[in-house]
Amino acid sequence: MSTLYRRHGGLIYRFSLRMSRDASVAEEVTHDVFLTFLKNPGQFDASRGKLSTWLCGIARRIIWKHLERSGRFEPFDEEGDAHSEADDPHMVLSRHETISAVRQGVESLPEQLREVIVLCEFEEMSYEEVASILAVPIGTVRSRLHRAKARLAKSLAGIPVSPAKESRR
Amino acid sequence: MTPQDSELHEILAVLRREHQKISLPASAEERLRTAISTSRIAPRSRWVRALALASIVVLVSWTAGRSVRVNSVRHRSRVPLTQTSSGAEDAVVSDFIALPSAELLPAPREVRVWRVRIARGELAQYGFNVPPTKAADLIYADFAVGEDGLPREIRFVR
Repeated sequence: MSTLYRRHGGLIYRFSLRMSRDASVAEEVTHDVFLTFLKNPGQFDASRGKLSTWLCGIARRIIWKHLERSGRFEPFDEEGDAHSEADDPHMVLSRHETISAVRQGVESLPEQLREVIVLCEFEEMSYEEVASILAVPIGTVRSRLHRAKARLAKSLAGIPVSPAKESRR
Repeated sequence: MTPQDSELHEILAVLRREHQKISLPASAEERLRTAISTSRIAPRSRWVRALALASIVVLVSWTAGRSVRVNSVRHRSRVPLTQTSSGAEDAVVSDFIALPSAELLPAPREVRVWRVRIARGELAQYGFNVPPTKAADLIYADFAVGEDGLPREIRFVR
């Protein structure tokens, strides 16, 4: 167990931290994920994917329950995308500022877009693995990633991503 | 790729490096160990594992029409295990390896070695990574099982 924890604990913790934005919640989620695995290790089916992917899926379900309970869940409209009107062509950002703006942009993405950025871009998982974790088709992963990047590109241009403009699912 | 896409790509790479530096607090593993040792998870898990192993043994001996050789040895340390007849030793292809699933279990006072034939995929429940393409392969393995019925170590047999 210790080996598994050291191998996969970091991934689960980083993912939980990005999604919850709270270190204590991330630690709690990581703890619960491994306890869940210990309670019933037979639930993991090696023929259906990697253990890391399976553990990430458990983490995701726990995080989403937590976000819903705490009222922080921000549903995302799959069909449309909000457009910011606060375009300022004169806003020029320094390199440091652009990194900071994109970092902030990632933080303010709706959960469904943020988790795709975290898993695809930060954890460098394949579309197949991410689709398995999110339990959605690969095409959905691609489209969410595209939208997430489009929003981050706005952050890059100095246009704040506006979660308030998101429509409810 | 537009210049903006290119810049975003570079910035995401910076944030990726930042992200991958995040590590799990050291206290978390100790907390998990404490939780396992004080909760009911361990006994339940032990019971399930013991039952699973017993089921495998019964099924294998029934389907293969051969008896499972059970060799008993006494030892107080986890390794090395001294046991089995010379014929059985000839077929052994690895040393005993500690099962990842047994790392948090106490050292057994007595160990029995059970030779079983199992699908390679079954090893996943003991914490091994098994390639899906090999999950259906049947292999022989010796399980070192403690007096509590829980497997501690495994070695592979030709």
